[in-house]
Amino acid sequence: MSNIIYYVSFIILGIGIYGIVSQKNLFKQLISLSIIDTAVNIFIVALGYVEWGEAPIYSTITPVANFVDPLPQALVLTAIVIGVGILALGSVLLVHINEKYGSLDPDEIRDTREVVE
Amino acid sequence: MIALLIAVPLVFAFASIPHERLGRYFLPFVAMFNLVCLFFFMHPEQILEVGKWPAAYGIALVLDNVSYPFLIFVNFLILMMSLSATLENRYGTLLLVLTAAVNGIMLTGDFFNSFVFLEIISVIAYIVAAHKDNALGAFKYLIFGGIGGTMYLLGAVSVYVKSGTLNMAYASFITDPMVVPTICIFFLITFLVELKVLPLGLWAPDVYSNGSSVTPIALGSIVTVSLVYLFSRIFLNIFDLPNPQLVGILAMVSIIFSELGALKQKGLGRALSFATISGVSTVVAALSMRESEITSAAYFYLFNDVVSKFILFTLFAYLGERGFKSNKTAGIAFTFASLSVVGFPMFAGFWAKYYLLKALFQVNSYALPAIILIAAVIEAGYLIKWNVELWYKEEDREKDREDVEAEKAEGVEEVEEVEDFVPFGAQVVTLLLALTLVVVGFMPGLIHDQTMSIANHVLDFRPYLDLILKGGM
Amino acid sequence: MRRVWAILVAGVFLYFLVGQFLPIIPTFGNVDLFARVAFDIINKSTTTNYNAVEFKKSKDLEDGSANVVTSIVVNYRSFDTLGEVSVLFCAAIGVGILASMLKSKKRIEFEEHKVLRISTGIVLPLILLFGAYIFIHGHLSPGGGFPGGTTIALGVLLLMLSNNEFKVTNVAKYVEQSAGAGYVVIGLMGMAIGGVFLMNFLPTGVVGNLFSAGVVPIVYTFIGFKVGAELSNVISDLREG
Repeated sequence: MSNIIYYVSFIILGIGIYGIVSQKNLFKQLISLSIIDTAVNIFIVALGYVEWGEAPIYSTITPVANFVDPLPQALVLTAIVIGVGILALGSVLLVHINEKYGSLDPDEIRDTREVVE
Repeated sequence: MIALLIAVPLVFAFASIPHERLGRYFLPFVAMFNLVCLFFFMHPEQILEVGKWPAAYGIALVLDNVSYPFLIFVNFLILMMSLSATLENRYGTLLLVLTAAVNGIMLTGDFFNSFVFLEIISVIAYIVAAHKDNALGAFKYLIFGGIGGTMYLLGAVSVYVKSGTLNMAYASFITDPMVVPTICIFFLITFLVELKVLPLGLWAPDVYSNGSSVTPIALGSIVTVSLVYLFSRIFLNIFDLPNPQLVGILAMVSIIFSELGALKQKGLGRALSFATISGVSTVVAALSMRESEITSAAYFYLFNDVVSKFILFTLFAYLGERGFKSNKTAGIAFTFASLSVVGFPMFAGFWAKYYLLKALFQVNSYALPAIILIAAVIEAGYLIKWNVELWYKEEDREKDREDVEAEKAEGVEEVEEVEDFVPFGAQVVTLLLALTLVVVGFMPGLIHDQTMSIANHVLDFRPYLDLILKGGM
Repeated sequence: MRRVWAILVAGVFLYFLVGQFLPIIPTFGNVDLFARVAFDIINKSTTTNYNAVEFKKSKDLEDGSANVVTSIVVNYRSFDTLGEVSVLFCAAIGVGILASMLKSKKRIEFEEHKVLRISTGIVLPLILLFGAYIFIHGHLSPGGGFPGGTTIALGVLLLMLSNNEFKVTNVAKYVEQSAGAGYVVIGLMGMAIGGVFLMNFLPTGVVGNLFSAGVVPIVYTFIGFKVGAELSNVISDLREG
């Protein structure tokens, strides 16, 4: 039962994958991608938890080390920033698509394309 | 010292922000600088621990006999691209960062570091893919690539959890062999996406066929070579490939479907994109065998495929489907490249296929050779068809219905701009590469010796381990 | 049909994660830190012998930041962070390129609001100050260049919301350029002084002091400026169209 946080992140990951495959709207696909990112970040931080460990910062309250694993946290910091970059890029691409085809629905986009070609 | 290969392009990229055109002027010089460094100042078998932290704790850059030839090849391709492609304003800066990232992904000996470089490459790839107003294809790639990147991250972190370090050599030494296949599934998904093996590579045709002189070359040649390197590093050198049969079958199915897809396409751009998928799938199928002769042949195949696709895509970008009547030099390069892809004798492609088939027959594998031969026949069919069509295109048919429509789709303002004109740089580069194919066709030893050495080194884990552990644990 | 496929794909994936992957990872909280490199990184003993670190007492260690995550991000794995900065850099350039290619140059205008306008004048300096505090104290407290830069960019966003005339000028570009190049130059200085790229060439001082940890605060300041300028550019590009 202690593994419940792993299950939670897996379920969020499953929701993200379900969203990407099932949703037609491209914006919803982008959101699903971001959900997957979040799930993976939760999972990685959880992997570093040590029972009764504290936040890995030397301070007046914790002058001596009794810390959780800081390395996954550092990795997640990197991964979050990368996720932000990809999210920003994806949204600009969506603005482009919307301008060109007037829609974010693949079916309508296909119709517009056939009219153009 | 070897960090300069990454640091110098990055410095120039940051320095080129204020002036939009500065990046593209820096690019050839930076590529040249990298090549000079590689040839004269850096030699294989050296390791650099970034920041002086021991390899297990920090990040180690490794230049060994596997990455050295790959680095030279990729930097050469970047130099060629910087001369041949028409770079718009800020693309030069992006390609400088891409140079740093592909050099980084080949030098790094650390799982998470390779993830970071992979993400740089993919972010640049999404932007480059959106070139020529191709946002839809780029978005498709972004979704596929986003999932792929996440999977790579999960793989890297599980390596850390199981072995306690992110360094590749230490990790492969410590990780329990029982759990390696499970972890490798994550990496495998990433590579199937990025190397365009079909069910997961469905993004590729849309992205490559946008008629840009940058996209298919940056993604199809440069990024593909660097990822094939990472694939062989992880699956041949450090870990074992999980389910090699399954990967082989997937790749073979991918070859067949992409060739059929190429045959069906009406446009040259999409046909070439499908041909690229088939080429890389062949390499993946061959690499999944894990046998030194086959691996060597696979690298030879990759060399031929990448160089010829470079020529084909560049000429397609400039000429479209307007024929070679007014551009005989371009036509000759195009024909040479397509003959080499098909595997016509006297070209590099012939030797690529010959070595691959010979090595496969030696281990009594007959499924892949059969598929390669079938693929070659289909390939010959459509490439010769396209060659004939482009050579014998009447001048007055130039503006026929199909063409006008294609140009309309490209955007009206570009119609005037691309009138039957191949820039001088692109002509020289394509001709030079076509000549390379011929020279290699007559002297296959030039490349074959190199690929044999890579294959022998990549399948032997000991030198890599010794290099990082410096002889002791 | 699409939903069935989606459930199938997600199901296969979940099955793999729960059935194959979960058994091989340790249970939650049950981590053996001694078997991981993190143990030596926490105790700052990757190149020296083990010696327990004490806050405000230990000095001249191999790495001097009190925040261990920072010491990993900017010191032990600084090369990753350089890559990470490049990712953000590329994404910002990409947003700029793609936004400038849009055909409709429709600038997003916001409704003028007096309360917002006046309160922005009061809050904005505090926001910028707080952002600067976050990245300057990155080696002592939670935070660092990325959150600090984001806070600064949020200040810029507030300014944009409250004032329709406000535009992010080219200054942001120059800040981005010099901060990015500064990071690499620090790395190259490490190479010139210590012989290795991105080496920490300054004394590390006492753990917990503001002036400690060698190049870490300098690098985080660069990152803070760079991220702030980049995100401001992204917001402004998205707005100007």
